[in-house]
Amino acid sequence: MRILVVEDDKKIASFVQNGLRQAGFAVDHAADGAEGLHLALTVPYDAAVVDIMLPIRDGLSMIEQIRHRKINTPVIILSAKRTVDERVHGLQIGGDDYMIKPFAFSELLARIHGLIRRSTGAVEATRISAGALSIDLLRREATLSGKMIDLQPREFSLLEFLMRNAGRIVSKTMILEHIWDYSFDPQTNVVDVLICRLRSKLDKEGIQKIIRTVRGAGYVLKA
Amino acid sequence: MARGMSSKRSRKIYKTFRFRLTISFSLAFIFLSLILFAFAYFLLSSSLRDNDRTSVTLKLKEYSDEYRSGSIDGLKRKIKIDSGSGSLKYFMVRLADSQNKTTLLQQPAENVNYDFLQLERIVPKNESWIELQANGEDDVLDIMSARLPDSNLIQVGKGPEQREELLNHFQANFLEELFVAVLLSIAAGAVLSRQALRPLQRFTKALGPIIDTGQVKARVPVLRSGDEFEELGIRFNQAFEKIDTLIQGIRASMDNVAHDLRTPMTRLRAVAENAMQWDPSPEAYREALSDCLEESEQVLRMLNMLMDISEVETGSVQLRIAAVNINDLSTQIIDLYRGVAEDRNISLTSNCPPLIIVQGDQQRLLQMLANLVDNAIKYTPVGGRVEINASANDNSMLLTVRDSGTGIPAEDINKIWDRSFRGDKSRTQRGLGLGLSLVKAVVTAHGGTINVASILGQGTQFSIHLPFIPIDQSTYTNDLSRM
Repeated sequence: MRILVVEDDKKIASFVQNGLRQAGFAVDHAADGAEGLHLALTVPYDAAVVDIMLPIRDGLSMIEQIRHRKINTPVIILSAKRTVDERVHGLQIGGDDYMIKPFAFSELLARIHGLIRRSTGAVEATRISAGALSIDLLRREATLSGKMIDLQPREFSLLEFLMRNAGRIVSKTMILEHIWDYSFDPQTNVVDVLICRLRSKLDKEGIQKIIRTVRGAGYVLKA
Repeated sequence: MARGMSSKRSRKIYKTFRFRLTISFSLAFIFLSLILFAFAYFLLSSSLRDNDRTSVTLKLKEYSDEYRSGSIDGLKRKIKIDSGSGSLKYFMVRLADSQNKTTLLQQPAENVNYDFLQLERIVPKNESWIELQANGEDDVLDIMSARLPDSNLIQVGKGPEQREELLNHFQANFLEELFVAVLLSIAAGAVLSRQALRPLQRFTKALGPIIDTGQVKARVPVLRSGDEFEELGIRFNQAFEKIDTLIQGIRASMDNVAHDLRTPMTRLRAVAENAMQWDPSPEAYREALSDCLEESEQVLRMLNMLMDISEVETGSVQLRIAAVNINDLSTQIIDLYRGVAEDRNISLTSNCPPLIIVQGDQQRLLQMLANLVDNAIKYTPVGGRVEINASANDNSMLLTVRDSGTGIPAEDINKIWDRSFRGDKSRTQRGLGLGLSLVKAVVTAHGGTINVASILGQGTQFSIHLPFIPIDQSTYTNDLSRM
């Protein structure tokens, strides 16, 4: 799968490129909006990561042009501005997702995976497994080697989110947004508390250390 | 340099508004005077002409009677006497036979060249005026005719000379007066425009130091005159105050950013430097990098919070106003904090009527309530309780967050809204101490008020009054379904 990165800051660009390559993507990089537009119009990409403030042509007008030419490549907007209006504008113009700088790479990666999954219309599995752990999305039940684990709804949502992103780091911000639809920064460690409860329930069933803390970055589920 | 030039630039006098105002005033005055003069002149001249015609008619009757009673000689004598006494100075008298041949002609004394032979070609009608134009001049002789019993004809006319003398006199007088009036009107215009523009000059004067020094505290003097200038002055000052608030907000948040960021930045630096100095194992590097990540995360959170507060306080970001159900907010917040509360064995409950709608920014209000609940849980010991209550009356709604926590000492109760204030207990906790300033900023931006009541050792209650806009329930459900 091939991804276009349009970003003028060299350090950020190389950091994103390296990360994406390590995650198994092919990456093209453009340092300005005109080059980015040219690439987007000539090469079929599976997704694009576009900064807003770019030389020659800004990111928003570039996305507008791409959409104008009926190219539906999923686009993640990167921006240093964090106002809601800015975000709404970016999404209205044709962006599919919006990330505010500075961002965690793990979060960018998870969002790219999510967008590609949605745009390719992959059939949603009703059952996800990781090792002996398995969840049924329809009945919202988690089982370990066939044995039911008693989970609260929020705990189940968290486990589902971690399993969908198995092997990838998910940040606290992503969990807050995904589980509670809350986009601010609660000052208390509500996420830690939920993780802790889920962990202790899984521990009790005998699967220890399946959810690991990556300090400063988030959590990762490894079967 | 450019600034010095612009403030000291002397404008050319004819370009000033004052000059133009004065000139317009004088011109208007002169124009009106001229119209008045023309009207008076016209009235005067037509009434003088009527007068002259009346005197012609009287003269004609007098001479006809004289002719009838004393024949032609009596008339001649009478004319002689009259011209001798000067009463015929402006008159013409003509006698003609039945073929309209002149038999006697008394010309006006004024030397105007009338062609009296023309009268022999004009057949006169009784009681109608003949106008005889002078040769090469505008003067017109008004002539009235009468047929005598012996079919002779008598005609009496009068030229315009007498009334023209009067009118000329009137004109000369008027011009003199007009000259004086124009001088007066220019003076009056100058005084008036000076008077009218004085408030503007005061504004200009007040703006000078603001532009030169950036001193936004300066204000325009406002006279309680009740006129447009008072309004303008008030508006000016309001604008300055708003700018002042914005600048102060920016300054305060810069100060806070600098102050609050220094600590995590120092730690970040220390950890990195430390890791570079030793020659640690890969695990120790990992630890150091994780520390760095955590600290940078902390820096970012502070930055976001400070930006939030400053955005709401200065109004630089518009609130996205919509119908918000307080009960929904409360449910969402309880859901978010349930785990934390249970962990500390704190009972977290909400007691809100199912539908209390306010007009507000849903995200900001959510953030506000989250901060209050967060704060309450933080200061409530294990086994305590935190309650959210809401109620509404006709024009406002009351939202309270009450805890059974440690309470706030009386001497601190007014300081809790300061951005830099942190209760002693929380110094070691990872709170940012900014939450309550954000709460206050959000409440204020929604036109509400917030109060705090606290008893040391028993608990604290925050009460928020928001202006309550009753909304038709059906509208609200529509809004929901659209979302």
